[in-house]
Amino acid sequence: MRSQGKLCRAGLSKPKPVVLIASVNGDIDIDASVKAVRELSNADDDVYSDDFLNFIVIQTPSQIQPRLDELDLTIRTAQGCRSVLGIFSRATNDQDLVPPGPYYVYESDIHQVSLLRYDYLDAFMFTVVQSESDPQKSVPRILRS
Amino acid sequence: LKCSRDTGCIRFSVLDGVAGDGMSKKVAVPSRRYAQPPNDSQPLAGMRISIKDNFQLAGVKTTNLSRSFSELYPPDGESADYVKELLKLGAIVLGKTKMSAFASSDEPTDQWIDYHCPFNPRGDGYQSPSGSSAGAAVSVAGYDWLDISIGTDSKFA
Repeated sequence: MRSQGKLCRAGLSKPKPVVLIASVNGDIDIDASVKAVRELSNADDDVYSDDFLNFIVIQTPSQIQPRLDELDLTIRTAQGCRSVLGIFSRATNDQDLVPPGPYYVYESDIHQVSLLRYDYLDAFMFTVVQSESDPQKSVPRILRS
Repeated sequence: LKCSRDTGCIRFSVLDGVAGDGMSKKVAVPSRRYAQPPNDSQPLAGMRISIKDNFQLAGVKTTNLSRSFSELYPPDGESADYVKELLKLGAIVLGKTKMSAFASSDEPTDQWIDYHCPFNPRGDGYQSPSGSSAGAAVSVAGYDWLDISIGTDSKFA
């Protein structure tokens, strides 16, 4: 299943780790975006790592085209990341935005990341993944070792 | 009708594959960032949980740790009401844990006939994990990436 949103830049043949951050109220606020990245870096999340911070993807609630060059330079200077990879336009209102966090970009689409752990204590009968309940809103998943 | 946590129609698929040791199952642990912070309507938002294999989980078999029972019944069509409520509250189900057959008082390890019991994370791993919710106890005690494990106390087992 594919999500509705697409990156505005060309597709990638290999999954690339990115941090997805959301625009504020449909507009791009550079200060808020940088702050969002910093908060993500400090969050208690064992799936997130600094590898994701190399590239930023800005999510917009509509087909807004911000000034990518300025945004790119500001975030790169503030965070030491390499660049803004692109703009991810998906939904028409703030409620349908994909949650900010670590993702993979693959073939112009955003994919959730699940870290693979191992049941070395043999505690589980089955391990499961949640199926995509709503293809219109769901985000595909990539498993990461 | 759109499927959402509120409608209770979330389905699951079994994650295939084992680790390089050929034995340990893979567990897919999602980022905590995909859930909103816990709130009044979803106090379990983003919490990673395991459930005992006597709860129905839509799309997955319930074995009760009995090979005969597992062969007899197909994957469950819907989740148990209790599981639906957990999902509605925001919990993320990572898997179903082992138990003594039919939640009986079978004592590990020699009385677990159809499946081997979990390893106790305490000590050398060979102390009894007890039961019946052995997998629930072992998973939440042994894995720091798991927040909550649901077991049962079957009074008349």
